[in-house]
Amino acid sequence: MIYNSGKIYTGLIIFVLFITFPIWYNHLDAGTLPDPQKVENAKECVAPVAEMKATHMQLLNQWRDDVLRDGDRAFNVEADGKMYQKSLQKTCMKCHTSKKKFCDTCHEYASVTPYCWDCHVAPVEPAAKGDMN
Amino acid sequence: MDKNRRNFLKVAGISTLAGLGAPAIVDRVISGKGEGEVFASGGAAGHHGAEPTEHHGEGNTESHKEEKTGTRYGMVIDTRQFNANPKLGVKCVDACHKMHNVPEFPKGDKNEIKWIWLTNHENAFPEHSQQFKDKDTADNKVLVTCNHCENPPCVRACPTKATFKNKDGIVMMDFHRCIGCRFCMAACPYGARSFNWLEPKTILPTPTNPDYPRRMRGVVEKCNFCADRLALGEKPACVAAAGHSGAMIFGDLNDPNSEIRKVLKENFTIQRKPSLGTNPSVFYIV
Amino acid sequence: MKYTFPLLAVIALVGIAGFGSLIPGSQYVFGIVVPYAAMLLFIGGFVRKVLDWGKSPVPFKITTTCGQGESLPWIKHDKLEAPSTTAQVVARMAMEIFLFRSLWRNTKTEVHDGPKLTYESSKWLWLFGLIFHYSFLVVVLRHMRLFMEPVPALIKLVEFGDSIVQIGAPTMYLTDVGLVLGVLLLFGRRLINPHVRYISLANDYFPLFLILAIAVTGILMRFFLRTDIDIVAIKQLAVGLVTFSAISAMPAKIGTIFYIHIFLVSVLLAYFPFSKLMHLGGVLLSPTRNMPNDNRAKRYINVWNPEIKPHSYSSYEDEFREFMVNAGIPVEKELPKKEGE
Repeated sequence: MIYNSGKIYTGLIIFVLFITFPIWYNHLDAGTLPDPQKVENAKECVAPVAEMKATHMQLLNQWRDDVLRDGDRAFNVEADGKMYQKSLQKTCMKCHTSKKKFCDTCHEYASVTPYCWDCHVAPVEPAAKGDMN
Repeated sequence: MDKNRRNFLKVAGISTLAGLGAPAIVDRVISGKGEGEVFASGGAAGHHGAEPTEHHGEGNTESHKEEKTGTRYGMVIDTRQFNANPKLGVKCVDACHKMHNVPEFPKGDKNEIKWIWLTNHENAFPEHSQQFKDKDTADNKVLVTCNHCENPPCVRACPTKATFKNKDGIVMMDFHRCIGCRFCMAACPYGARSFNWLEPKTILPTPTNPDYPRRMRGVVEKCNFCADRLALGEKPACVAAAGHSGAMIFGDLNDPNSEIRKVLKENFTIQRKPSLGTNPSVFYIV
Repeated sequence: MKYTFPLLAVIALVGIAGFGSLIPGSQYVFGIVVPYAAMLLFIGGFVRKVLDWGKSPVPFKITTTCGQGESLPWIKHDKLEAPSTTAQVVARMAMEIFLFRSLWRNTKTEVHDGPKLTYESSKWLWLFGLIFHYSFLVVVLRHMRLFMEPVPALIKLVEFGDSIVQIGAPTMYLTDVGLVLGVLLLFGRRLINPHVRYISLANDYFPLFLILAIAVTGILMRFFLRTDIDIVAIKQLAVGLVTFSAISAMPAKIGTIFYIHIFLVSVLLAYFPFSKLMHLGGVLLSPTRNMPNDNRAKRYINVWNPEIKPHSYSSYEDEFREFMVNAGIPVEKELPKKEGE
């Protein structure tokens, strides 16, 4: 009874297996990288691609506050002076026409579940089977 | 000993009451508004005739300053027109609810959502005499909606600032922030707010207006004077539905040259529950 | 001061990663080599330490009892405070590990006017310790979304719960607040409380600063310094690390703040097995908690004790009778000399 090595070593093995769980879980398969839908009907977005990738959620959040709380609905893109309406449904989703093929690809990969679509209406999916949500 | 305790309780009680009452009195004094004036202002607004700004005397609180300079959207509902054309009210309600993806519910459903609706005269104007009603009043319903009060009690009640008065005097709902506590519903004296007890997605699987969002379960919703349409220079959906009948007039109450102010000047109008001092922005020609 | 060196050390680490990652090609060092080395050190060091513990004997049964031990049937036994069976010990240990129960009576001695001496339970350490540890656990579990593809439902659930208040975008995590708050209190305690301050050493401050820096860089990366923080690229690298394909999966560009964050985490991992942080494994081996209080019911043998045979008085007298008689000490049995003479 003076040595508890049996229990300790069992615990240690469990711990090491637990710590390295992602290795066993992925079994050396990195999976496929998300490939969001390419936009066909527009050449440029409201901001450069790298910036959109990193900060689109902050931009949308800003838009939401601007539009709803301050009533400021215009968005001025400095590069070409073009005005866009600050709207997820009316601006973003007009070019990125599919939530499933655009938004969801990366969000599912990174396990991000934004609550936009709890209320906002996603565009009708071309190949969807009647369920747009 | 007993007497001392009695005296102590007396003094303690009185000072507690004084302590509780003092801030309210101090507020009144600071805002330069006597108690009489508060009631006077409410009452006068009820029998609207003169300039609305006049009622506030030397009131110098921030909201009053803002009110004079900024926009304050309001609406006049001419019940005579609605009485003359009984289908018009339903048309306005439908236009609004279709525009904002408000699902239809069976009549009297406790889960009902309504932004604008028709109600009996005694429910719309409970402060008015209902004895010996004329035929028009007894037979017809009144179109009611959120009053976008100048002094909205719901905004004061909201703990997250999900409901707020925007720069155009519209009482807005920010559904992103609403936590569903329903304090605003308790605070609203007009029952203008509805709570989403059910998931809107399941009741309304296909939105009637795909450009407008639905809500989610557990948030409060109400009329927003079609703030999104106003931004595009359009009239609210109900006003547009009423068309050129003149049954609904929409405009800026703070602009003395606006159409709505002209109508208000030419007609005797009433507000709903004026004695509460909320100063509704929806006026009725009865 | 005892906290200046650890503070400077953490600042230096931030500087190393911050400036180091600007060197072209160094993303392979900070993104792949350092994390692998840190993980090897962590697992290797952890295993070595625990193997060493496993080989160490526990010489004495030193259960701390804080209540009535098992006794006569009509004396109420305090099963948690003086456990006598394995099940009771497991219950006591579980409450220690999951609820930090012993900190609940972190008694504070104070002298008040009077003079009056009071002993009061100070529960701040318990509360913030609990917030800190659970926040940290959830933060670690949450990060698993970046290492696993597809993301398991349990991880998604943890993430959902953590971001349930839906404030802002990206959503604020409750555990981010909890972790920072917890670390700040655990640090503040060492500054403000004179007794704890006196016994605090550089190696008490270092992990606190390091964890704070990790939390702060993480929060900055999520909410404020999002330049080139593309979560897909980060997950690509992280999954690459656990599938041993990181070199080919190395994304083109990730913001500096990410490399600072991952470098600090690597340092924490490498430092872990050689520091007080090993209480992660050590808490299970607390000898005052993990032994049943059954000293009187069962014999606990210490292998360190020399072999001592039972030696009764009669055998003692048999052995030394001659000397005893000679010394005039009375004996129970006389010497059998009558037969000889």
